[in-house]
Amino acid sequence: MIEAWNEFWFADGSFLNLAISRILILSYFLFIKMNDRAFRLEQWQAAREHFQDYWRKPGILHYLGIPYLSRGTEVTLIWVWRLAIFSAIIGLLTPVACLIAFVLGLYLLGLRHGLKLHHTIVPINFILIALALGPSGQMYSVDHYLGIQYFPEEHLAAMANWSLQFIKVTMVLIVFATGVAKFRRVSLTEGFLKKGNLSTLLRLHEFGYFWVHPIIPMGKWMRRFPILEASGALGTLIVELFFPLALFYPITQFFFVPSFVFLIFSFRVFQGPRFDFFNCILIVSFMPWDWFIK
Amino acid sequence: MIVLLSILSVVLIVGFLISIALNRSFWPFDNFPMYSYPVHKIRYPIYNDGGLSLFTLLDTTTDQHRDIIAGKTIYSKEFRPLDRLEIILLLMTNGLLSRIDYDEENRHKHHFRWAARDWSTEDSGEELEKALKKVLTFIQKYNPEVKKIAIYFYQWNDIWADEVDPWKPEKSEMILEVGS
Repeated sequence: MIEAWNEFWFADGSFLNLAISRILILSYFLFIKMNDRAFRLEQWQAAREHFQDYWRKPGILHYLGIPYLSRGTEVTLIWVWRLAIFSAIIGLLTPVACLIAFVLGLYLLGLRHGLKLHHTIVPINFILIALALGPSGQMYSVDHYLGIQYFPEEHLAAMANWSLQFIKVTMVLIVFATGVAKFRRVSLTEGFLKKGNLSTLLRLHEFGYFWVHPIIPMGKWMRRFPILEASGALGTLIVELFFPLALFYPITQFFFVPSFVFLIFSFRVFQGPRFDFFNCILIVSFMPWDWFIK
Repeated sequence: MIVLLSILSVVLIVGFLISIALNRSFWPFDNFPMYSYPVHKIRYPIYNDGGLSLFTLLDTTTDQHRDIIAGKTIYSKEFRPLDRLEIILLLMTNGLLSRIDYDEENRHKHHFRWAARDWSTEDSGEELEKALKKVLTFIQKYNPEVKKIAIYFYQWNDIWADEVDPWKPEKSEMILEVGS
């Protein structure tokens, strides 16, 4: 058992894969995701203050009794947080920058969830802690250029593997959770697999007052072809529930990862919601970069 | 170091498994329930047997009522950075559902009750007005010209009918209007 655990988490890992994951995932998060109007943290602060009677503290802030900070303090922290992520991207003081971004992110990104939980950014804090506690700045970094070493030489390869596995396990748990959430509500009379459920879900998104809208409306069309609806619903559930196999049987990741990436792409086109950050993390962290780059 | 990393791995796995097993979010751990509910049990908007019910907000400052919820994007400029669902949920959890006329003949009656099953939706007559005024003052930060807003209840009887316009409800009813 311990041997299997160590083999899974602490086999020799690829510095190259980890460095590319660091650069691409954090760059996407900072320059694309954080430029989305949903993530202008200064505005979240104003919204929280305005709706303070209704604002609920999310998870960890509530349980740890972390108080809300003053406006000036928060603005300072927001800039420190952004700088820390940028520093991590270029690999300057990489573990320290990731750790600062992780700690500040728990608070700052928590502010986003006062009226309802937003699921799309959940993975980022886990990724930051994975990058902080592994040799993610071992390649393609200012640290490497300057010859700065943060971790003992003998553990570097094992820690690189741990970091990559931590990111992958985070994503696997997220995908699995989406499958379990659907599966637990499936019965003979209702649920995700029931005839008419998926087509109705797609059709509802075509209404102007729904939260997001499809690029290609196909609710009515899917209703006319039940076999298409059944295969879409069943395929989604199978991919989500069995996604953990990609961790234990690496050959299966060549099926599960592209399948889920395709599902997320389909959600955007035919339904509306964007889970693009999930796709970015999946593609980047599962891609065997060291096969292509020597 | 290996022990510390192993502990973190366990925390990651156990945290998510607890969230999944209890079907609850303990941010940053989450159970990711998106789109998992059967369509007729989604809490909002409310769908039942082909019919759809939802709420919207209109700027009623002038006679030319303007919808400030509907749009191509979820983020109306009046509410930034909040999205339209957050605004509606805020109102729904502060008495909006208790303002609906639960006519026995109304096909949506039971589903509104279902939607309200674990929300504090009792309204002494003041909660909804207070919440809506809060929304109005929030809107006025970005658009001071908005002086009055109203909540409207929209219904479509059959979303599958050929003649249905997803942007025009078949029935609309004003629930509450507030002004500054």
